[in-house]
Amino acid sequence: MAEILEISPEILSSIKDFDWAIKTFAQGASYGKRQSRKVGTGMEFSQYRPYSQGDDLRQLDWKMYARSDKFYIKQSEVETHLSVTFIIDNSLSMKYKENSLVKMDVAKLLTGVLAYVAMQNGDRIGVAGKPGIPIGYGDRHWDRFLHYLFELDYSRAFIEPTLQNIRDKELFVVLTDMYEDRKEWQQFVKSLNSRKNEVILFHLLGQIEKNLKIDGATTFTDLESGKRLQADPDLLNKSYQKKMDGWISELREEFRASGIDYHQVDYTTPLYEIVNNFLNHRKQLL
Amino acid sequence: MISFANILGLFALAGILVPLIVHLLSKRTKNTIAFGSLKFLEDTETKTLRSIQLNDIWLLLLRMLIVVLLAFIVADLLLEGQEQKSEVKYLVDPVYRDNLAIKYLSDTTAPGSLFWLSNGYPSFSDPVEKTQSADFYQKLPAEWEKDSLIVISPFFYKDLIGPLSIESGFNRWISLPVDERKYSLSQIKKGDSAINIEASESESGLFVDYSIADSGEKKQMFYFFQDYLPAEGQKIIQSALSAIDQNSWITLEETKKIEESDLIIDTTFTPGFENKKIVVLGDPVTQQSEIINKNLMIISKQIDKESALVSSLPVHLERFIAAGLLDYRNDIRSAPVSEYFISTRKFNGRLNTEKQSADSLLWWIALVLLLTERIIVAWRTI
Repeated sequence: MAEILEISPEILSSIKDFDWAIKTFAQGASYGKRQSRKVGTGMEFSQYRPYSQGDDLRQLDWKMYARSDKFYIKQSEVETHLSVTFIIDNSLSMKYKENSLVKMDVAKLLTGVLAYVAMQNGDRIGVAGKPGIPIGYGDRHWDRFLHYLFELDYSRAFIEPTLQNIRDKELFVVLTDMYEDRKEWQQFVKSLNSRKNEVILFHLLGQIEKNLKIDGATTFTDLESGKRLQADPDLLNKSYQKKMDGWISELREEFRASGIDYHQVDYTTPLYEIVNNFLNHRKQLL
Repeated sequence: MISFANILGLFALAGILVPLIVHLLSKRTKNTIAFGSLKFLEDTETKTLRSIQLNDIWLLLLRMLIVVLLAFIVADLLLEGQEQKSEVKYLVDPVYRDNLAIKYLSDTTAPGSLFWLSNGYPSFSDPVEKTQSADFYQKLPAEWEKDSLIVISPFFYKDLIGPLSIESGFNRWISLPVDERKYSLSQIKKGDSAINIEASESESGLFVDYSIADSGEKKQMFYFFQDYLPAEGQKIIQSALSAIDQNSWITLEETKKIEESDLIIDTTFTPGFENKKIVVLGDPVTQQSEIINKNLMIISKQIDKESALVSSLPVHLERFIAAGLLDYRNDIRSAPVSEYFISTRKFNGRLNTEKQSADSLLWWIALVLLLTERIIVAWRTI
């Protein structure tokens, strides 16, 4: 069990394993249980309407008040279907490998886990892309979803992920390394955000990617352009870390100001840690 | 001049390869890693990379310099004190006027330190008194110290008296080898007499050894070069010339009858001999024009008499050679220039100064450089 809670590359060698790993993982960590609405550890996005005089005060959503300083009434517990669309950055920079963990693989795994959890909670899942997987649910849909996820390959250029018509409440989960030339990801992610939709952004970075703790002179190659660069990390890492931290806080500010749930995640940490932290954080929000 | 007490220590210079090799090896990077983006590496990187390279090269040179210094310390570098050449005065016999060693000396010494001896004796516009007597070198300029003089001359020191004589304890004589050229003339027919002449030219004059074939009688003549002629020699020549029989004179017109084997010597430039005529061995036909223009002393009939004649003989000898009458055998001996000056260093006093070991100085410099190197490396990694 422990191995599955950690990430190992072998898991991703076949769809069956992938499938099994995600399910076992999710179930093993008790994410998959059907939760009652009231407890709500899923990615719920309850429907509210603004309070108007005369409403039943018992139905006030205090959490929402805490969040927004406005009074809202929770609607009745009609199972509201949430559409969760996953958007995975498949640019070549995602091929980054650290500790024999490829960022893209972890992104896929994370997507799988979150998608499964969402599905177990009655939400619909889909993947953006060409062609992508349209929002849906059910076993067959899950198989298609997983297949697509598994087969997803790298692409050279940034292709703005195609989205379906937005109808229901949409939750977008974006997984990316945020390496961009002209802020294309930032713009895209912000464009997703609206009053109806929510956006969760996983900014995936490795440890060495952040702290540049490499011993000895190093040749760096750019995964996207192939450019090479020689540098001495010992001399660079302090200023590099500063830049990194600055960049991350900048992004955090930008996104959170827009109401986007930004999470900078060390993708090399065990998956259960990542998911736990995320869900706990979400719990606090609700 | 650089010298080492322990020259084998210079093998330590091989250590210069160590920083070099380390530097070259470290140039090949240890790691290669693929990054999603080089964006955050780029700005500081270019600066750092350039400064790595610059620093590296300077550090490398610094380290190599340190190795060199350490090698010098091991090899015990010796520094010579200043050679106070300007205090040494060289008095040089003009017999060495074309000598390479003396030329080198005059080129490398400070002005006012080389004086030509005239006629073997000091003669200066400066105050050394010339005497015609045998009391030579009795007075030197007051400010000249005997110890700062070096005389370079081959001949006369043995006869000197006065402050520069051996008796007075002066021992700074250098006698350089004199270039010598030998000429031989196998045989000249003069009438019934055959004369074997062998001439050998030195810088001071020409020795002519001749013998009459029939009788085997041998004679020698020495011809001083004009500049060189000592006062004594002048007297000898004069007396020799005066002993020449008046009948030996041949007028100019009669020279046309001179046979090939006559010796003609040009005396144009000899004071006191302007009106004398000397016959020079050579081809009279080619020398016709010269004969007409110069005062010549014909000594063909006097050839068995001692006569010392002044001439600019080398020129004439060249003519003899050109006329095919003399075989030119060049026996010039000249020692290498450095040999001449090794001998000057044997003198005590101002020429030879103590060689100091430069070790302590080098240690200080090496220490400073080592500290600098460490500081630079430390500063770079902060």
